[in-house]
Amino acid sequence: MEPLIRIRNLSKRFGQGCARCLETTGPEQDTNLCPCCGSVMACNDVSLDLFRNEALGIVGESGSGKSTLVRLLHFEWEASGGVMELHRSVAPDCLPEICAGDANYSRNLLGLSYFQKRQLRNALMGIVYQNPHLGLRMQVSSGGNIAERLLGAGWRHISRMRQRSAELLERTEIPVARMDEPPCNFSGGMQQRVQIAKALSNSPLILFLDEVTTGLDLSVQARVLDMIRNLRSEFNLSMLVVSHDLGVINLLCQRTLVMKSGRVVEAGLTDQILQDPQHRYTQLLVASQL
Amino acid sequence: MQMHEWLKNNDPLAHAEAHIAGYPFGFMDEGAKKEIRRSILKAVAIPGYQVPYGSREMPIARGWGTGGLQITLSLIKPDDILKVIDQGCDGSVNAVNIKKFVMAVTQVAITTDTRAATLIQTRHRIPEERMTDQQILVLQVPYPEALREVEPSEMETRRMHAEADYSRMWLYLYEDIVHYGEITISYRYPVTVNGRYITDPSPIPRWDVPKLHMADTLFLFGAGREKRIYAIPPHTSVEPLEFEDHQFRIEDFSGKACARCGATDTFLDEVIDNVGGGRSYFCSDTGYCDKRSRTWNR
Repeated sequence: MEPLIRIRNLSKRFGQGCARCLETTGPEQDTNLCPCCGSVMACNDVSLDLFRNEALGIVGESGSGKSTLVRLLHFEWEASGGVMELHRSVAPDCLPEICAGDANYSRNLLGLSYFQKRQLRNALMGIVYQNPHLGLRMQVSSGGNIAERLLGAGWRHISRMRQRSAELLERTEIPVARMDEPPCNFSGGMQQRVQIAKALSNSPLILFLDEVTTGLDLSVQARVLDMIRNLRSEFNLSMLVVSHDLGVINLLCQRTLVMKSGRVVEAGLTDQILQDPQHRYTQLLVASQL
Repeated sequence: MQMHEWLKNNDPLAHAEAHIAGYPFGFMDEGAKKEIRRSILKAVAIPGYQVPYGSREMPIARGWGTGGLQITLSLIKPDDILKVIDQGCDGSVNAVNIKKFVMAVTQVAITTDTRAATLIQTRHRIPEERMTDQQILVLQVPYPEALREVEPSEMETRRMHAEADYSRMWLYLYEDIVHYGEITISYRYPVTVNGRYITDPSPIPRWDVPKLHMADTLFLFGAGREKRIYAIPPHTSVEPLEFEDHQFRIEDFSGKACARCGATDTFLDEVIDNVGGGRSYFCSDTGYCDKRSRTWNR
């Protein structure tokens, strides 16, 4: 089976950079800050494959580059280097130009124009942030928040959009009667579920989850995780799950990457990583959390 | 008394200064006019796109029609016939001031007849009579940015225009419908020009929006304070934003008629009698109303 998305040597540097950035940062040096020029190597040489209907976990301490990676893949930030390719079978109809000839993979998506990137994002991706304020417009009704993605994808029929919003809110256990209330009236857990509904509105293939359960209390966490698991099998989603919580990763993901100081230090099956961690940092992580 | 007669008898324009010494034809120097005409050409080439330009100081305050005035002055020729209206009226203060000024610096002929004019400057209305391909309509614009309602940052609105990222404008309309059952924008109704840019048609009533679509006339929009020029060229599609199940509609004046000329097919102003409290309706376009009432009263 071929991966849905191939990512090779993805890097993101904040700052001007110098010749010594690469050798002075990384897990061995235990920093991502270059002492010579002061640049931050937030992501460095990250390669991964994401398969269809798979949940891939990314763990690491704060500042290890997990969220940066998600923002690069969601085209919110521009990568400093690297390649991101999409399998031909899932290339959206609105962008026929990204697949050249009969190659199995598209050209480098990181080189597309902003307009193309946004079209691609509208057609394929959904994202759920740790903080609902990032993913939702707090003053706009919940139904409107979901409709925004649909409007971006060209929907122009109010009742059909409302019907779709109602369906999604029902799936994410928000009472449909509160559809026209703004998310600022809701509790944290409800806001997170509205965010998930919004992310699912365009039937994405790929869902990015950036620390979704951090900040929710334990019983709500359990319900949200349960829901995500059900949605994944129902909608056939590929998910990239970012978390510092190994429990969440253990529950959701089949495969896991461990990041430290902007680099991937270990990758493999989640069970294997949790039972038999190889890298010193992973051992520390597993020992301290489980 | 009718407006054109009143203007003829005690016309302040008749005694306007024959010529203001020391200024070139059309007040602005040729370099300034050239820059504005270049911006106009660019605006015509990219329908609906806001072209920045160096707005000059005019002898009226910014925000009182300086954008339209600069376009008028840069385009006007000695043989042009000018009409200036303010919300449809030929005789209101803003229109008369601008007329007086343009006359003083160009000596062109003035008219209140839409058909007779070659160049019309207007504030917030489009004349009722369909204009021809020999005429140009210049609209004064207070807020050229249609997306300003949803996004305060200029940098961000420019990005949204560049990427045709208009979902937030549509979301604004969606929310309007959810809360009030219909779109509540009464003037400045956003339109899509040539299938590309969402554009502010200036604060014309919804009644006038369909007149922009596939017109024979060139429409030029000037915002002096905001330093933007944009255009809707002739035979360009102009579509008001609407949903499949919530169509755009114009104001409804059914059952009402102009108390002066009897018109039932024009945009009407409601006038309330201060003493008796009675309501009556008059054409907003006074030039057209005059023309009609002359034949109607005969």
